[in-house]
Amino acid sequence: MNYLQNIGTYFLMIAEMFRKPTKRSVMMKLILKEIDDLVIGSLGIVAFISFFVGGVITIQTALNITNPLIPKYLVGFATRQSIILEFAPTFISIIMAGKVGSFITSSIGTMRVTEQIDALEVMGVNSINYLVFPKTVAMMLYPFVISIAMFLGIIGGMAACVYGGFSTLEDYIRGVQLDFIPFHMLYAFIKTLIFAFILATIPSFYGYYMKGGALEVGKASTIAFVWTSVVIILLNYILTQMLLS
Amino acid sequence: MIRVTELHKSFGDIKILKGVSTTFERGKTNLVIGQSGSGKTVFLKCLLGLFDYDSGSIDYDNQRFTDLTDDEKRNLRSKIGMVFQGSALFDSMTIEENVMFPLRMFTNQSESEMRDRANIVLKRVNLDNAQNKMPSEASGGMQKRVAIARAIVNNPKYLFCDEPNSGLDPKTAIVIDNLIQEITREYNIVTVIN
Repeated sequence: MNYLQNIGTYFLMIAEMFRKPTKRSVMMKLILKEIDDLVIGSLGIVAFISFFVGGVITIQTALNITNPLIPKYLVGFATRQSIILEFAPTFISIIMAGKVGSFITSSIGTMRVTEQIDALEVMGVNSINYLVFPKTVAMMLYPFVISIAMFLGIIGGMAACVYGGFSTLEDYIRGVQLDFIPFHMLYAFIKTLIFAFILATIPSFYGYYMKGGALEVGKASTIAFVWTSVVIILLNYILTQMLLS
Repeated sequence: MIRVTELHKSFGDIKILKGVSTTFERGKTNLVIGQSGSGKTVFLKCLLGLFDYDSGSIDYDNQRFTDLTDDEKRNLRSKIGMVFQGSALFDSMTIEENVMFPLRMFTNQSESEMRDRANIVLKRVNLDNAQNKMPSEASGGMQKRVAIARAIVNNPKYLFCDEPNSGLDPKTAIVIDNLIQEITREYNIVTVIN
């Protein structure tokens, strides 16, 4: 029953997010601040992880292709497909659920604990619109982060492939360009946009509706990470079934 | 004037407010006094609409609070100033930005007009040299005075103070008490303190 109540409250929060908007000039500043905190602030870790995981995918693919009849350029092909279809949109989102999600839950949760949200409400500010809407809008730039993750993953794969001696640069590039289906990019960005909405709203929900003190802020961050990850994995399955099969 | 009639509030089986009736008048400092845990803060939060009450009524100048739509409640709240027990200052903003916040949200004043108004009220609470400090750099008494400045900056009709003296030394407590009384007369507002 508690789960159903949480789901209902979550959708009410989403509806409330669009009611009685905050003044445009204030909202613009909030959105820019959130872009800096949530999107720009995540580029470093996303770039680092993407480059090295791209390299690992390439090495493992190359090491598992033992049949001499399989051409070497398939290493590039497999790396590209793995990164574009799954690694960049889904697994970077799980990482972001930890980084961005816990930041959102703890910052909103701390505001709840210190009565700052009550102060907003007493002033007549729609606190859900003020706190959650700018984060949601900022996260709509998340596909930009994923584009960088895709690019650096493939570059990391190339570096590992060439410097590890698994195939030549020409073979790798040939594999990356092989049988490219543009719809796969669209599929990846549709997933990314939906995950971005989840990444902004579920952690906000757990921060906004938390009760208790400092310890509960930590617990809420953990629960938010778990549920954001679960929803992303479930939606990943549903969207893949709908869009690719 | 705020009129409260037969207000009841309970949490589960525990009854906190049992038929509270009272009237808070304009230009007077109205005190709500009671033992710790007797429900003063709950009463105040019911008055502000932060808690839903079980039965009874609250009228703000003949406007029944429960009859208002959410948007009308928010409009009414923009005429309310509140000093929270823990000050509830926005910790990512400077003291000046905290005081300017209600003006930024509800008026169309220019940046310099808002800054001037914020500095007037900060001077009124004897904090004219602390504009650029962060709340974490201010003492408890200073934070309370900033909270009062933020509460009165947009000329509210009603001022609520939740234990404005808690955690303060007796000297600072007297300063805060006097300040609230002076402001109540000066602005001719309904002030409720618990």
